[in-house]
Amino acid sequence: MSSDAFAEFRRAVLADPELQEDLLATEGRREFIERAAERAQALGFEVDQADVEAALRTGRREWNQRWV
Amino acid sequence: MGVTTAPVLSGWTPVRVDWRDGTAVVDWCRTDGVPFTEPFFDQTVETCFRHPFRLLFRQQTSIDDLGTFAATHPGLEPAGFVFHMSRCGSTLVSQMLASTSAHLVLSEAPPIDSLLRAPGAGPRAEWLRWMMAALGQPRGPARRLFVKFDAWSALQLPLVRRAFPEVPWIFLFRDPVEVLVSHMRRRGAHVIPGALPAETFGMTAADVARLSPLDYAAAVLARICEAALEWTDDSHATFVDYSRLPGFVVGELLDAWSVRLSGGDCQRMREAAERDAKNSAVPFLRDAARKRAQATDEITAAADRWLGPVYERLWHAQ
Repeated sequence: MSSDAFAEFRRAVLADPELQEDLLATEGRREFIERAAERAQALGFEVDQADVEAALRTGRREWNQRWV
Repeated sequence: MGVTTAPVLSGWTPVRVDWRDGTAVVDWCRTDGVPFTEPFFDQTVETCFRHPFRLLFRQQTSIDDLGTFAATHPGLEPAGFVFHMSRCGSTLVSQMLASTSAHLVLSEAPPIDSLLRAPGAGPRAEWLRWMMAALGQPRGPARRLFVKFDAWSALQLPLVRRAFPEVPWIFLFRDPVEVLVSHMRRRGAHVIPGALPAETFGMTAADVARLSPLDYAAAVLARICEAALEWTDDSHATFVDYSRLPGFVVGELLDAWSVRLSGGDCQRMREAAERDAKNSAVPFLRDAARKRAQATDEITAAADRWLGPVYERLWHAQ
């Protein structure tokens, strides 16, 4: 997996304003997951839709676990 | 030789500050185009996270990067601060202030709390100014910034006054019996033993262990009020009892803070006072008498013992 690959993809997104705008313009969770995986693979990252979903679940869990 | 590119943070907002090995890490979320209109900052963050991009692609920077951003992107100058003892109309006040698009109101923003209670030594006043600049970036038509702090932030008034010596502020308080009834029905985090470190309130773990949950709640509220009372001679301070709301906001508060509003904005502010501050779909109901009727003998005794004298001093500070 792909958590390393996703981390690399995240770094690529944060360094690319056009990629950010494309992903931000994609409405709907399902559509976003598809688009993110598509753009990641186009850049050569081994990231599929399941990896994007897993990253979302992890991100939500980590955010919710912050102290009150 | 590697070259580090400075992060692009325009259009981003700090949503959290984490401490890793004593070093601050600022967590930023992309927020451009998102209006900050919810009653609490955390709710605004949840609104942002509805778009998965904003949850998934956040930036983490050093606090020095926060300073660099603040230096080149000055935010709106704070026009007034709201401190409070909790459950005393502070959200009503912040929602009234937020009722006009001319105002940006930050309510109980965790990044501010994190810096106020930062561990170790560090230029906390400077950090606080940087954070206020980042959080208070111009947003839509807003041209004034107001900040409502967490209840326990009253114990950090010395730091806040040092960082912002010219910003006027109010301390909101209420009959302690009514406040304790509210907390016993639904406890705020700060009155739950162990939820915040004991030293936040000048207590030790042993102090906390000796107290019943009710007495702990009353003791915490007393510490908050006592912290505010140290500033009764501050010309920038105004002490306000809940019973003077909401009229105080449209009248004396705007005058004290030199805020001039149009007739339309004043009307919007009055209309905001007719809605429940935490749920705008529900009308606001005065519930002081109902809360006092719900007070048990234990609540009344705890309010008298821990908060009686301090409430009297607050009343006279108005």
